[in-house]
Amino acid sequence: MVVWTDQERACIQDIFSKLNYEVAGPKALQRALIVYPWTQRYFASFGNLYNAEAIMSNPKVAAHGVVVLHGLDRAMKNMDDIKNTYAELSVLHSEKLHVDPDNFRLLADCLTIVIAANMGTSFTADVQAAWQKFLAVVVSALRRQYH
Amino acid sequence: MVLSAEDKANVKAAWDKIGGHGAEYGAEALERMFVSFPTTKTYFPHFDLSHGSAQIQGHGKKVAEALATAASHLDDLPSALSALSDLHAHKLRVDPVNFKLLSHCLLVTLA
Repeated sequence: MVVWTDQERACIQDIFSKLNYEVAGPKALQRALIVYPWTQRYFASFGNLYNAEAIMSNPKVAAHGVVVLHGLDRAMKNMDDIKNTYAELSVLHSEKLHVDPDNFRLLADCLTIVIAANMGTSFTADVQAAWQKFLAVVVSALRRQYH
Repeated sequence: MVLSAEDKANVKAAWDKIGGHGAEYGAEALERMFVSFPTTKTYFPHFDLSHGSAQIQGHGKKVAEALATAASHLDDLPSALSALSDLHAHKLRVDPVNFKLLSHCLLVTLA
């Protein structure tokens, strides 16, 4: 069972309150697809991903980035039971989408960088630590149903 | 892993933007790493790891200097960094997974 301090809860709520899902989601996914090109293998149906410009202007990528952030929103609203909140999502990513779970960490890292750029100096080392812990729990929950 | 000409140009441009702040960013990246990934502290039991410690500042400077060396030797990174690689592998025996953690924190610092 994950134990959250009050300070950690406050940090996570604060980060989400400053997050524009429509902007940050697409940015994070675009970065992952550009910086870690093998992640494109999961998005063959999205059309043109041939270069950075194509990825940044692809509407399906942008839409999916928003979907991912709404998924994270559910974790934020259920911080004391992320494991069960994500049980179905985990099965989906494993059984249906066949995503290598290492990619969850890559997308999480890209999102962290987008958030850091957005929040600037208020993304202190302590705030980052709370955020990294939240992401680690999210990634672990997504990995759970893989077999 | 090979760096394309465009990669090298991007690295040079990014490094130029860092300007004289290398030591400061190196120290901040280290501190972020120690706070977010506490297992990395196990390699520094001899350090004062409190916020703003002189040892972190000093080590941040070393990290920045190594990155500067790397940035100016993009055409032969393996040989430019071979001494550092040997040091971290044979003497310090650092699990290479930790290099990714520090580089992530450096990216966060730059962001």
